[in-house]
Amino acid sequence: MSYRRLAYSLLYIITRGLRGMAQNPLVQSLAVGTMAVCMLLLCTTILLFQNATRIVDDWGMDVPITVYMQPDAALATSAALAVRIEQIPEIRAARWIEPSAALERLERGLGRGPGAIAEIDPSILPTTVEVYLKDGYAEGFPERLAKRLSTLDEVEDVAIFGPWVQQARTLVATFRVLALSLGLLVSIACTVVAWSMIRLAVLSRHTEIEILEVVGSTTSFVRGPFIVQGLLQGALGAAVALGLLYAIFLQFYPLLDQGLSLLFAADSIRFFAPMEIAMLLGFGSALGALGSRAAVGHHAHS
Amino acid sequence: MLVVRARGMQAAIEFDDVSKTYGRVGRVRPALDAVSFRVEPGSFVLLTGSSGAGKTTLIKLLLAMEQPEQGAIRVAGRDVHKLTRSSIPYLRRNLGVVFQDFRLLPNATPLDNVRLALQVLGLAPGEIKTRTTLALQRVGLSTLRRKPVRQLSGGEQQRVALARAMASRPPILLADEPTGNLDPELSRLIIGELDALSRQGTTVLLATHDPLIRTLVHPDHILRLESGKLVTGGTATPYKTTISHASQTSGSTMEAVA
Repeated sequence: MSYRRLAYSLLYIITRGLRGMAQNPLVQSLAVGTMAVCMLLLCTTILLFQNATRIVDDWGMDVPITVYMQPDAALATSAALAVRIEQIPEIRAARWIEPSAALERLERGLGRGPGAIAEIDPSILPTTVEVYLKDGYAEGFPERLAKRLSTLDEVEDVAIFGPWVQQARTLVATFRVLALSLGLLVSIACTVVAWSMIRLAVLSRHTEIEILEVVGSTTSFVRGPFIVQGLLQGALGAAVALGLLYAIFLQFYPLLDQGLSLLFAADSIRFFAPMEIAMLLGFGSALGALGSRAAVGHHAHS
Repeated sequence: MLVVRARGMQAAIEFDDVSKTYGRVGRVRPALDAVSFRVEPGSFVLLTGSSGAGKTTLIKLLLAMEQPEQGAIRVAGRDVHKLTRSSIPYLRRNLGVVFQDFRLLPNATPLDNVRLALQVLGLAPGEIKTRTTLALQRVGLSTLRRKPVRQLSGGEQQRVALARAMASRPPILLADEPTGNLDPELSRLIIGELDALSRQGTTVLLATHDPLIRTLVHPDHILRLESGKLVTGGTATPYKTTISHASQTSGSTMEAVA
């Protein structure tokens, strides 16, 4: 087939798919609405998971041990301690943070914009060494390490996060599992919605399919418009879900951001980035196309 | 793509000992019984026989809509039933067909019905428009081209089906009872169109049970089916029969090769 013929065939497939949607607006709205509900569930869970992870990171809960250096400790001493700590096999990383960097972090956490705490002298904050542990460390290791570090002369204090950090981490992990499970369920639900709607369309257009087959249309020519229809249903469903979620997000954002600023985790909440939105739209479209391909497979073949 | 006309003197259609039955074990009803014949390119062949004689089955077998139990069916030398599923559409593009039950989109206009068959071929919109207009003109439906098919009479719907088959300009045209719903005047028009197509080089196979058609048409050859058997065809000998087109041979003869 020449490129020109292929282009004309593609044009037919797309326009027929669009006309197919326009022929039954009520049924199409129902399909798009059902898919939107499914996608809304999925997008909400993903958004919650993403933001929970971000809050945990911004809050510093990913740092199990923080070493506060003596106020008169030189930066070189802090750097040397970080290097020594990193040599312990259970340690993933140890980073020293100087007071100015800590102040910047605090400013970000408050969410009041640059210069909000300009009057604070960075020197009142101590230099710290943040210690990250490798997974699978022995029980009681963080406590033992903290105890040992606190005996060093250059160290003023050692903070170690307690069991509530573990709970927060469990919460994030639960969100992850929930997002994955919902992703799977929503994928099945969207596929089934697209499948049932396209099956109805196939049955209502069986005469047209019969004619197309008799006059020599290829299988892809018969199936194409239905797949376009399913793809559009999925994309529209995802778009409606994202639009609704954004509207809800805008309603709650000021309140949540204000609350988190009290916990030094302001600006942690964000909506999906453009690339993520594109990926979710693509995911919805793919589910729609998959469902329609399954529906049309049995009913439209030469 | 399967090109029928480019094969030169190769038979357009060839049935070789073809049998087809319907029904379950114990209640088998033969639809075609060891049917053999050849149709040369450009011939006008009349396939006659009473209702249930096997005419429609023969057309369905040609279109690969049914599978024979025995024998081979060749179009331009290619065994229809050995084609892969993906090749069947290209076979069908070479076989224009007018069905007894029209097979039209009732809510669409004649214009849309004809256009659909051309869109399948991937033709340019301009070409589709020209061919659609011409085809509808040829069957006298220009004025009704925008009226929904369901509002047309049986005869008019029949003509839409013929226009659709003609528009794609297939090398072979199969017509199953194309005058079944028409008055003598329109029947003459349709037969005239089929005759003209044949004279332009299209192989036409016209299946009918209507004996009156014999008075309207001057086919190159006549095949007669009775209870699935090819019993006679004009001057023909039943069974293994070669049909030669009048314009290609010294006379309209059917010569037995069996």
